[in-house]
Amino acid sequence: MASNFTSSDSHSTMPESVDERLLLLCREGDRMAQQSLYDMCQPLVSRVTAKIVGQQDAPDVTQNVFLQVFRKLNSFEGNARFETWLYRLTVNAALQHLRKLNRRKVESLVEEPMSRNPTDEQSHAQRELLDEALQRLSPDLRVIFILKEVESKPYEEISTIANIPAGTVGSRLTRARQELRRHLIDLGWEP
Amino acid sequence: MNCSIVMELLSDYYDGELEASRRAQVQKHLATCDRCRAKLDEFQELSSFVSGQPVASSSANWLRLESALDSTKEDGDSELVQLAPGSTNSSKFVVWIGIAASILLLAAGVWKYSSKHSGMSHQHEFTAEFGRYLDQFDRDPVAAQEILLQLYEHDRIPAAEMSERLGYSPATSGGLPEGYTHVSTQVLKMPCCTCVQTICERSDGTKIALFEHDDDGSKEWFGERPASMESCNNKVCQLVNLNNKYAATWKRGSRYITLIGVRDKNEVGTFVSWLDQELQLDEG
Repeated sequence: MASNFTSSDSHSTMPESVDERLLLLCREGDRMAQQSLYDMCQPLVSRVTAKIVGQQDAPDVTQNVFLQVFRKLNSFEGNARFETWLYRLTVNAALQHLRKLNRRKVESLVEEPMSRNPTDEQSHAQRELLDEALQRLSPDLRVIFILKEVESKPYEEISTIANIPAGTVGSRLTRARQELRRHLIDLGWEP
Repeated sequence: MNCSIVMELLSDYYDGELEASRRAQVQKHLATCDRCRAKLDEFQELSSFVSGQPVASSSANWLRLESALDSTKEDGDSELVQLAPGSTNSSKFVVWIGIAASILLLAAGVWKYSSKHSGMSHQHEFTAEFGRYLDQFDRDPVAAQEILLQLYEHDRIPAAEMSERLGYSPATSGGLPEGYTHVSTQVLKMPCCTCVQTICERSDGTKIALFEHDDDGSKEWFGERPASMESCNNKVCQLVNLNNKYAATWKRGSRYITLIGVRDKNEVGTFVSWLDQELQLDEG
């Protein structure tokens, strides 16, 4: 049946500005509105947490982020973009998780064997290589690298999200890039 | 500009964050310096490798989060009464009170666990029962209505008595949008909530059911049916796919409205606007 409803792809890019009415409903505890906000934001939060804390711990950290979102929504005053505020909560939650674990490296997830075709196997191996190398970076450098290379954020926004002076973003990125490249080569990457 | 300064600025240059004159200086250095240019190429290699990776998808789990939100809300209501450390004479008393309190808490936890789980099975039962109604509604709304009337206690209250019996004016007490005629209104005592249900008919003889209820029962009513949030005449509505038609739910004042059997977003918008108008008249 041809639908007259707008097809809302809940995993597409998050809208630049979240509707203020939706936030108002979320603050009031409206579950439907909260689910809508969750559907909009979950891909971003999951992606960033997975890269910072690893695939295994990402679901728990993602949940913590959203619990904080709904708890702290009253304090979001709209003087910054909602997306920036969300990134900041996500990064802080991920770093806090790592500090609790007090380790820089996350053990690789032992995945259940599944049948993959050779192309998928190669992609999977490369993704694991990148994830392993990222885990070898210090958390602070990892965050900055992810915000730039994965999330394509400008330096000014990286500075706000990561709470670092804007003038230091470039030099930290240079360090992150150089160190990550060394880790990748150590793990067998052939550029 | 020497290599050490260029290396400091290399990421800024690579990411397009340098202002024009600095950018030109770095570019001039790179034109003649193989070492710095090689570093820049390494940045590019790394970016290509990262951007070539598929993004790992992580399954969204709203139900798990909702459960956590609900239990956070419940935990906030409970408080432990702390006994202040007393003198040696009352210390054993304090210990025994502590033990008694722990036993009570444990018992409460067991009760809460078992009542929650028996509640969960009632919820599944209701979802299945309401699901039968939804499946039948499109084919035969009269037969679908019979399902509900057989399952749940109901009361057909005359329009003139609604406000007095319910304690509020139902949403449809001011009538229906143009093009819809009233068929019947009844109060239904469903497991999830007590609803005021209005059946109305379009000019082509097909039917819509309108439920007015206190709780947002979207999970209980519709289970795992595909749903999305849409804006219908500036109202955030949940739309659930019912094969050929839709169910739409939105908040109206302190209660919720659920329409069963809507054709499209425009039809939802018609009801949203009409009922909002009626709400403003009531509140005015």
